[in-house]
Amino acid sequence: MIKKNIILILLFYFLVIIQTSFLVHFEIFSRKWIGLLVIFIPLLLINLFEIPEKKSGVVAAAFAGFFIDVFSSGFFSVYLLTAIIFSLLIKFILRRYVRFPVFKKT
Amino acid sequence: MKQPSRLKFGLVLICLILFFLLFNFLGLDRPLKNFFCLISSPFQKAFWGAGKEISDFFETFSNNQKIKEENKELELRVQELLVENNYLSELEKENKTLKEALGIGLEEDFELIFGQVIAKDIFKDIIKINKGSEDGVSEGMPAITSQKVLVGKVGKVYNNFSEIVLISNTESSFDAEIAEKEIYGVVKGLGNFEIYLDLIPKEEEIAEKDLIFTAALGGVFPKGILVGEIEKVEKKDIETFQTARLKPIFNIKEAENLFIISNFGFND
Repeated sequence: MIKKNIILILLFYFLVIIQTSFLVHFEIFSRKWIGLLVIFIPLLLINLFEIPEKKSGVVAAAFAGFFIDVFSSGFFSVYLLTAIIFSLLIKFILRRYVRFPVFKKT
Repeated sequence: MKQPSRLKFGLVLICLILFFLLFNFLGLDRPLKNFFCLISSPFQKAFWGAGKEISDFFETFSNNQKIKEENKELELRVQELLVENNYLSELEKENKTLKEALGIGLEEDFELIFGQVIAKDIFKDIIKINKGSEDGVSEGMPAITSQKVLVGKVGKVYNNFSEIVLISNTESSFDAEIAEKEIYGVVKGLGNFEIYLDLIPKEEEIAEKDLIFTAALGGVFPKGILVGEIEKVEKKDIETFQTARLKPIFNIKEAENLFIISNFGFND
């Protein structure tokens, strides 16, 4: 569990740093919303491909939001809360409306 | 979701929001952001440099033809500027002699603080530099490049870092003048590194490639710092003022080092 969280922290920390310092130089990624996809897509994938009852997606969202907040100039916690709510929403939709046969216990 | 867990979730969310509101209002986010910027600055510097080099490398391929054309244009421009430079140095000599004759001291140079760009905000036209309040940086100080091109002004200041609100930021606006024409207007940011010149009286004649410099009217920036050049003039019959889309001279891709003007006099 701790190992998994450390990996998530490092992953999103470096993704945010890469977005703010490296990808800025590339025209397509320097655009507001496309730039955010670099962080948003891994977050979406983690939330989509884990068992909806597990919490790693929410933890990943918290780390991603936290690091975006840390390296942004705005009000702290806006992205943290947005990312957590986004993750919970995915989990809610998956639990309520989507059934993946792969997740069924045999 | 069951009723008690919904209530629990709602309560946790409200508590979190209240906690973060308090966290921001007490200013506790500043030391936290400063700490993370401090430990990340070596990585950020390395990524900034690598990003610049790699994007330059790819741009060379994609813009080869464009570069050739631009090169021809620039060669012509250099020739024009050499002639102009010669004329200006004559004027400078004359000016110096006149000032000496009148007993007026030369304007003091700006006091500058050197800073390195390490990151850019994901959503806004704001960049971060590695100098903060410990180095003498304060909010509102102008930021320029080594070629005396306007970059923006200092926004939030942390102990070891500062945020520079670029002139293209949507919240940025300042007075500017068109070189040699004494036409004044207001430069406003559009976001995404785009700026435009607004509030130019309709009767004034402005043209593409006119250079825009800061004016001392607003007191935000020192007079005479290069901002950009007019890219397209937009005139509408129904509006009292004309506007012009500008091409900023400052380029984020080439920005690695910049200078903060720590004190300047508005001698107009």
